[in-house]
Amino acid sequence: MKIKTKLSIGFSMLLLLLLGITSFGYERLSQMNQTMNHFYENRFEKVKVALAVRGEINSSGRIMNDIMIGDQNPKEGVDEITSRLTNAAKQFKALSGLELSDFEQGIMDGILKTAQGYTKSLKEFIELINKGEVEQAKKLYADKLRIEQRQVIDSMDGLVKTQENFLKQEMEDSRKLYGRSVQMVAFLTIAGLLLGLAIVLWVFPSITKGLDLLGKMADRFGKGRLRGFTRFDIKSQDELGDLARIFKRIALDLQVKNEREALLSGIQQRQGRMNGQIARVTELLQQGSDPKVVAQSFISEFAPVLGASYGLLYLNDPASGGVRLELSGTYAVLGEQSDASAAPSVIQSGEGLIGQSYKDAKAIVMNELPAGYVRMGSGLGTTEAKALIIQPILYEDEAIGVVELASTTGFDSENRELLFSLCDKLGTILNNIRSRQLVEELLRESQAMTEELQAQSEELICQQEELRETNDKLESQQNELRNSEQRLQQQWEELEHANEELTIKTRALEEHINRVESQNRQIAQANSELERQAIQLALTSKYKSEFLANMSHELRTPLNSLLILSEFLSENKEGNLTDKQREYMQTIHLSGNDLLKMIDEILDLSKIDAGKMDIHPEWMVLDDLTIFLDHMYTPMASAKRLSLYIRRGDDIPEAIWTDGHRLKQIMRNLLSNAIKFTDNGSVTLTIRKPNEMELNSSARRDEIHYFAFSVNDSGIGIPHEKSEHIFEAFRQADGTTSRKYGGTGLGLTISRELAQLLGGWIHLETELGKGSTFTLILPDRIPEVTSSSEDVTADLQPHSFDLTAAASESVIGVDPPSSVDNGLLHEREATFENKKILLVDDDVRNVFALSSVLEHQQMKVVYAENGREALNKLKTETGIDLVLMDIMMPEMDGYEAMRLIRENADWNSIPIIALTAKAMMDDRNKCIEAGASDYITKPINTDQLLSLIRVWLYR
Amino acid sequence: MITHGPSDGGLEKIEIALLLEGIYRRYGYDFRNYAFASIRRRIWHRIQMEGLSTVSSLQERVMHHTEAFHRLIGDLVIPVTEMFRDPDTFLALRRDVIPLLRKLPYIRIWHAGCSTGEEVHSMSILLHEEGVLDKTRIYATDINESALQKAKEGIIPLEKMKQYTKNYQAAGGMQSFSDYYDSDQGIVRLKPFLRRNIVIARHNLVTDRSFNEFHVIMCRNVMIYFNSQLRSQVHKLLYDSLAREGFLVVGGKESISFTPLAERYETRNDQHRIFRKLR
Repeated sequence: MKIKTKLSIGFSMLLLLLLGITSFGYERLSQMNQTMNHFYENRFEKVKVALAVRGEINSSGRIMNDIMIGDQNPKEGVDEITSRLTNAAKQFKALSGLELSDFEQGIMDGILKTAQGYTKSLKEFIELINKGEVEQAKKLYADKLRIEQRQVIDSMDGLVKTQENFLKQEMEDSRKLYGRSVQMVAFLTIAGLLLGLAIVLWVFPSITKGLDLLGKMADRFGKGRLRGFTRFDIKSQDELGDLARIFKRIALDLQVKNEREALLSGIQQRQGRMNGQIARVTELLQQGSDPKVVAQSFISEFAPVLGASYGLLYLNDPASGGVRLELSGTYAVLGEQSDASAAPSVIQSGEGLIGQSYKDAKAIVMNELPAGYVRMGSGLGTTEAKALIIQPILYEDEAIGVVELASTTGFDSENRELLFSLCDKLGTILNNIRSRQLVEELLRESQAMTEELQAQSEELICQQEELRETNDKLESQQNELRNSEQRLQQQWEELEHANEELTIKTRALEEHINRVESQNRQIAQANSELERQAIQLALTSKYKSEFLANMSHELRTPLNSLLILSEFLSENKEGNLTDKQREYMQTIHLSGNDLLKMIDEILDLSKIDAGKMDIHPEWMVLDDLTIFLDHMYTPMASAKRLSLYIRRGDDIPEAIWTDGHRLKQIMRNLLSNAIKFTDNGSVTLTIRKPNEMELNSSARRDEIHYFAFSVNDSGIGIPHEKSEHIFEAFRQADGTTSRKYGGTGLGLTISRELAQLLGGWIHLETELGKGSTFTLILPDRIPEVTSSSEDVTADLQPHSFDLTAAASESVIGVDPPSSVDNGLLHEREATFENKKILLVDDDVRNVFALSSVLEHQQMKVVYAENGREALNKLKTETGIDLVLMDIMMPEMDGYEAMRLIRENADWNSIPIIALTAKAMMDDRNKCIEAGASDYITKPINTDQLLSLIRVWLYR
Repeated sequence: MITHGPSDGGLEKIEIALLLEGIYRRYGYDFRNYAFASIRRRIWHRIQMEGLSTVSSLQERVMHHTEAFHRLIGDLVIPVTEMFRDPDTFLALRRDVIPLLRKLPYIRIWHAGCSTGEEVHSMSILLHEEGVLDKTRIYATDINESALQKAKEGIIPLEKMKQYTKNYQAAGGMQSFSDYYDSDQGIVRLKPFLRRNIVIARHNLVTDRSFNEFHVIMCRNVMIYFNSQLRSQVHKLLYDSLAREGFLVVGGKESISFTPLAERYETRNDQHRIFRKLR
């Protein structure tokens, strides 16, 4: 039975009992209350009223006595008696109003009768009194009224007496009832106690027993001893039983859960270990770059982890197309010495279990190996493996290798699983390494190819260079060959001739030797003297050269300004000069030009004097010379209405070996002289063989062929006696000539000196008024002037000259000091000659400075004041070779001018050198962007400018 | 191209190997580890120039005639160079490298394989413009004596100057190029102040050792003629000759990626092949 039922039964019984006791008590108490009320209301009232009536009657009796005695006024007494009696009657009436038993009624009736008698008598008495019949009243009273009064009082007493009896009896009854009530209550209380005890005894054990069980269970639960819960047998069906059952179920569930968790954590631990190994494989092998090294470290590392005591690892060879497996890693494999055979280093796909596993990409497991299948051993002994596992290494389901492991204990599933995962990882890693290798290999190849290409291109450049050089060489060789053929012919003849001479000379020599010996001593003596003199001479010459150079420089600078200013003025742009003034200006300009020319010539002459005029022999093609002269002098001649003829004999070779530059200089002199001094007629240049008269010169050498360059004019001629003077410096035939013809009078002097340097001379035939013929006689081959090859038979004079020269060379090293070398002592260059330079600048000072430098180098300078004018000049002037462009100019600045120049396709290739006062990078870049070829900063260094022009004029 | 030589590559290989071995033993020049394809072409070029038909016949001549050997050397060593060749590289040097050198009290630069010295002089100009020439010493070395002779003269053919001027401008030149040379007829002579701090000496990268520690090594288009073994060897030499955090500059088509020392450098400028030795 449930505790709840038991408790409700027990408590309801106790409640019932309590209810019984209470209702019983209540009933008894109300009964007693009733009795008490009855006592008070009935008996006590009745007694009280009776006593009151009796008292009234008694009082009236006393009053009557008083009246009779006379103590009292009868009237007053009567009133008093009347009120007393009325009072008594009221009381009595009240008494009769009370509940009256029959017995009492009887008493009352008796009283009432008596009282009525009494009242009557009293009334009679009162009447008597009133009537003043006091004696009669006394008699009445004494005879009748007194008795009757006694009777009434006695019946009243009787009534009180009955009531007292009743009261006594009722008290008795009441006491009895109380006693019974107490008994009853005691009984009921005992019964209730017993009942409560019974209930307690009935309910308690079931509660305590259940709680005890639960306590035990909780204790075990707390201690985690869940396994014992199955042993608890719970019989009770009450709530605690239910609770215990739930508790048991919870415990059992918990037990199951715990077991499951333990299982799970075991699995997790295993998985963790596996993951750890897999992570390690990645970490360990990721860095490797060689598959074999990786394979070896894999097997070394993981064979022990997998519980194997023997292991092999094969990798396929990608080069073989994957059909060949190579042994790439081993673990604890016994060598050849032991009885076990060493592992094969190469296995074909499908060959043996390894080959098969590789081919199928499937693992092979053998758990019970036959005896002697695999031996494994250490230094102390050997044993046999029990289990074998062959696991292919896969990458994307394709086997790329095989791992074989053997163990003495066998492989559990965990290890097999681990091996599978490791091999999977290994496959990925190996594949990574292989693809990396492949990429690297490809990169390397492409790099090699790039470098090879670079090498080839360099070689090509090199070969081109060589080819070019060879070409040049070949060309010059061809020329040489042609000439040497001729020379050979000549030399043969010469040789024969020389042979004869030699025999003659040998004899002369012998004589000579004696002479020479004696002379030698003199020479030695003279030598030292000469040496001293040579030094002196060289010094003097140097001083002279320096002086001249300085002079000419100092002269030249103001002269240049003079020239340019006078030219500017003579242009008369502003139109404020008279014709006369312009003419003066032109004269100034012309004279200045002459002066300049003269200074140049003085310089040349001084150089020749100092022996510093270098001769550069080359093959001079005579046609080139004639064409050059024709171009140069035909315009000049036609300006004077002269005819210029240039003729060349058939027996003259194509070219001669001489210094072409100097030859041109001589010819220019002669021709310009001829044109200058001829007013009408013609000037003729003839190249031919010389006649005997012309050959008659002290400089002539027998074994050499000579040619004549003859300039004939129909001019004024030269008086005979002056024909030698004209070759002397600063001399002209007529002192007044210069006034008419201009010129310095140095030209012929220089020409003569140059002719000597070239191994020739100048012959003059002239007749006053008829004209002159200047004939330059040159050898076909310029003689070598090295002193060592000098003929021994030659007389002493040239020797001593040579010695001086040698001495001066060796002692002084005659280079002029660089301080003097302001570009003015530079030889004139073919590069610059007759080049037309457009100089664009608005600053007159610059124009002066630059044009003097350029003109000195025989360049022609065209000016423009700004960009616009420069463009016009480019249009009108033909053949401009180079432009020097200032940047900051009015109207159109240099940038724009250059841009516009470059826009015109015809001018695209003209070099433009920008001149700017700014040295900023930006400025420079702007120049180049605008189309400048190069750039030079102000103030301009003339040497630098010339270098630049040289570079950009180079063709 | 010229078709030449025996079809039997094996025999040719033997002959060339013998020739190179012979040169090494006889003259001390070691071309044995030069890139085969290139050296083969150069040898055949010389064979034709000499009017011969086999490598062996060239070997005979080279062994017995020193002049023939010098001619062959002239072919084997390719003296291709320009002033401010690959101007961008010089621009990169100017921008990325020179600023880092500026703080050094003294700068040493080595041009390994300088040929006729154009690049050395370009460097000199660059350093001058950057204001560090005075505290710099440039060591210019090459295997080829005659090239070095030209480098010492500092003479440049006039016809090349237009190209060089363009290169100079493209290399970020700050002045006028003509500030650096004087021209005479047909040639251009670099100004002597450019050569003041240049030391020119013969040095063979293959056989000689490191001779100083440098802050910059320029070795451009030299190793392209070497095979990989020799390249590694020379890289080692260069690495040993480089100061910590020094710069190595190789040719634009070259790479150091496949040399054993590649990871000892950081790439400063990949396009222009400027590498910096790590600490």
